[in-house]
Amino acid sequence: MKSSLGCRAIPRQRDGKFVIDAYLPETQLQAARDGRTARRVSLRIIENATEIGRERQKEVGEGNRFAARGQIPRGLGRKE
Amino acid sequence: MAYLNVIEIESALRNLAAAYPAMTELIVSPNVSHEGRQVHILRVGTKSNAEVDGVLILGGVHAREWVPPDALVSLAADLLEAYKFSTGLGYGNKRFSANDIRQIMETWNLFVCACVNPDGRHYSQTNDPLWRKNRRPHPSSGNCVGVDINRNFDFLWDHLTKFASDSGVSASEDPCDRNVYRGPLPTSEPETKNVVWLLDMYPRIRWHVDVHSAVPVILHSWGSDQNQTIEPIQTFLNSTFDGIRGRPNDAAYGEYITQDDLHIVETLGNRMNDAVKAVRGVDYGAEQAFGLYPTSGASDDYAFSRHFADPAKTKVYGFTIECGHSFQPTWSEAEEVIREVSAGLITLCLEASASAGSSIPASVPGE
Repeated sequence: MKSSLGCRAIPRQRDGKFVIDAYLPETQLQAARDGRTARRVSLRIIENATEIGRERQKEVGEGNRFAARGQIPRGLGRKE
Repeated sequence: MAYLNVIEIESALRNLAAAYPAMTELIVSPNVSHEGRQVHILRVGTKSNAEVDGVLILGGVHAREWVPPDALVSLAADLLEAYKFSTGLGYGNKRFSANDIRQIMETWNLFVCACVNPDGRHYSQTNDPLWRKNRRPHPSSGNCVGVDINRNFDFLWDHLTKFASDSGVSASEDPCDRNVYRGPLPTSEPETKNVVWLLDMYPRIRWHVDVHSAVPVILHSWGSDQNQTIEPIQTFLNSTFDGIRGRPNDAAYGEYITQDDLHIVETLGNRMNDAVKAVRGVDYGAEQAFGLYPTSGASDDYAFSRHFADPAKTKVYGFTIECGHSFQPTWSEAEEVIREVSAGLITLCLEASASAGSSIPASVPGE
């Protein structure tokens, strides 16, 4: 079974445990549960990332906000 | 607001260059993508390439990581506007003075390559949201498309030979691997070639930051094995250690880094993290890129390795910022992450100036 651990496999310490995000096809979730060999490893489903990604596709710009030369992007920093 | 699509990224960079001609240069990348897209790199700074050192900042290497390209466009726009009107910049609780911005604009060149992999981003934004690679066609017209750009750089690229078989190195020689296919050859991909070209063409680039998502964390060299400062013969160049490197917590091999270099990358990583944390309290942490297992062919390691492979080349310190907590957060959360990334990158420029300035020797004592 192949899972994706994102960009880099960097575990983070959270509440005294080491936590790492993994991305698995839904069809492989049960295999992941059954395949755990270490008793103290737990697997928690966080979200359906594909479904969320499809929702986020609605938040992608349509057309071209900067088609006109005079449309200058502005950053999110406060100018102060 | 909404995430930038690939056409908007290009237009945004073009319009910034047109609006601020004295502070920018729009650089055309020489290699078009497999789907025919040509990306531009915005050089931000008031001095010429020959006069001051540079920072190369990459975004969008991985298609599904949507925030970094938007963050880099925002950062470029912020720096240019703030410099023009002599203001500072604020990101959450982190503030930079007008003098800080002036210092960056007058003593650095930022080479902003906002979207290295536009084909992949377009595919992720319009088709498969979790797509990571570029869109290289399958070698025999099959369904297996794409190369992981961040496994395609010429740094221990041949993971089957270079790493221990049980190292778990995160790369694949299988074109059908959905995420980490390394490509048919090192630097085979146009996107990879464009990054290499920038480093070759602009030898005063001394810092390299590849902005990815998500963990979050700030990573410094090396990603190939645990760092060690004692045994100079244990390097990626030494084939004696082929088949041995990459195992964690062993005594057989550690990737050599000088104490001076280690101090620099740790210090700068921590300073960036301090700035990120100041924005809204999120502690990314800064650590070595070798995590659970090694990586091969990554851009940050490649950038840092160039000087060791060829001492005539500039030493480039490489970092990866893994920003935020997800690949595609809501836009409102993405804005917060953009502020964090901006604060971290501005701090890198300021701290690199302050601690090492433009006089970092190409070769530090002890090498």
